[in-house]
Amino acid sequence: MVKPIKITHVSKTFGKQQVLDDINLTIEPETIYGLLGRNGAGKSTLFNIITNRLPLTRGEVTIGGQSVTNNDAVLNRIYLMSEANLYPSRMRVEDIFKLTKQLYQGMDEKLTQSLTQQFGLNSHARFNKLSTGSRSIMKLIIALAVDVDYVILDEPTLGLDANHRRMFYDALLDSYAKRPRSFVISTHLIEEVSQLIERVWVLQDHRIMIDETTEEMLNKGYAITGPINDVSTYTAGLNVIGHEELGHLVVHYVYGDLDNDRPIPDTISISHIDLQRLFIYLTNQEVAKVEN
Amino acid sequence: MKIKAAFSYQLKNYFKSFGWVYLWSIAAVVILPFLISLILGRINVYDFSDYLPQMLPALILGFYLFVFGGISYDGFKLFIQNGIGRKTYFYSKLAALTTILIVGEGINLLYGAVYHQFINAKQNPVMTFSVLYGHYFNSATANTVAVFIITVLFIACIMATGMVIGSCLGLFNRRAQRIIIVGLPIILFVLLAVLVMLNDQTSLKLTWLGDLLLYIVGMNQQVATGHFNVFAPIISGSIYTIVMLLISYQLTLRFRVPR
Repeated sequence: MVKPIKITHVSKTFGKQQVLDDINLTIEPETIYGLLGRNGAGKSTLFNIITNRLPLTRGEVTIGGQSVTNNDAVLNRIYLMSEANLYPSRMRVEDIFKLTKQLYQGMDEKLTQSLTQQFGLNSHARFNKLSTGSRSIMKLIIALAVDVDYVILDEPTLGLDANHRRMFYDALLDSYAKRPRSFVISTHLIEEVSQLIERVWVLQDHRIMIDETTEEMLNKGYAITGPINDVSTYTAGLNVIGHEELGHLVVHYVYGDLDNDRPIPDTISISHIDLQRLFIYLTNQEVAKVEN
Repeated sequence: MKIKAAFSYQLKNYFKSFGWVYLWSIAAVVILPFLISLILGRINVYDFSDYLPQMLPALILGFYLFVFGGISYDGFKLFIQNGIGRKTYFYSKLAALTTILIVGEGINLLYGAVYHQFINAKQNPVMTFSVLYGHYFNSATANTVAVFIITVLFIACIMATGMVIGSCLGLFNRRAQRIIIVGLPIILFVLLAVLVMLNDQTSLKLTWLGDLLLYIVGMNQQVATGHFNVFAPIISGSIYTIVMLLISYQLTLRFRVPR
């Protein structure tokens, strides 16, 4: 039985700079997570710590009670696809596939072949001759075909055009349906992955700000539109995370429960907002500070 | 631990590159002088054995193990990308390089015997260290085994030194590595110049340093060359190799991505 990855009180500092502060998360089996955060929030650092590429300053990362530190048994169950190019530059793509199969528990050869064809990747090419997009494709093919329980994708669509991105999302869902396992996806193209992810983590100010299911999170996000005075009266005391003005109309974005006892004026309308907009306002500190 | 898969991958790669280093060395040492002789029209005086040194495979092996022992970080990067930790990486690399060392030393012995028999039948011994230690015991077999162990340990010391240098460099980024690679030889050169100067003023042979070095190699002023104490280099070589490997191991555990 696959055991969850437990991230307990993890902190990381580089010199005097704090990057992660007391992170506590659990990556459950067979779940698709989205890790969202602004540039420099510490997403890649967290992934590097989970896969033992970087040592942590405090805390621990375990699977079934076993630490990941230099532990092949658990490290071999996680694949991290990241922007960093760690493969030998002169190695051919087909040899990288073979090597991955040899060093991990295995790799779905049929899927590898079919995805290589589908994406038009030249498997005879050397790694250093591939474009940024082709490198991403090669790593994505490995990520989808390698036999692991946890796949971590750090900016998986870097350099991919819209068609390839669509193909990747379809391939991911297909692969997940055939062999359910955990995916943790970090991307700035939030709208594109919002339909895939089941649980959302938002990393802000070195800490996990939100750890909820996508549905719960979306249910808490509201756009309240109407004349300035009516909207301001209605949202007074609520957690307004942002606003926009459209002529004499205003939109207040609220995160959290609405006051059900408060009468809703006919002049205002309430709707839910999408994940990307929610993320933008939640992590836009200046707006949030002003509003709060 | 995924040591078997890691070892098999490393060994295959090392054998491949070892073969290439042999080929290039032979090309540089034998074929190049032959071609030059051919171009200059002096092929009639070209003698194959003039260009084939007896130490060639030993030099190749020492050079190879020093350089490839030193290439550490690239291997680590690849292994950590494939879910294999630092410990397994270090152990599999050590095991694969040790295998190369033993196979390489076997080739050295074979080459030495062939060279001695057919190429240049001078009185040079098959193993160079025989000159210093070849007559310590009364038994020829014991002497051969002892000299073989000393030779292997000598190359192991070179390999371990390369591993320490490589794992130390692996902790730094490319810019710092360049500074170290350029700066360190300069510092060592200055140090050497100081030692030479000191030696001019007071012979180092008369200081504790000279005594220590003589003790490490098993040299005794009362003993003739060929009868040096074989246990001294075996013990000192083993201690040096173990200490260097421990340092390299500890440094490897500190590798990280990104640096």
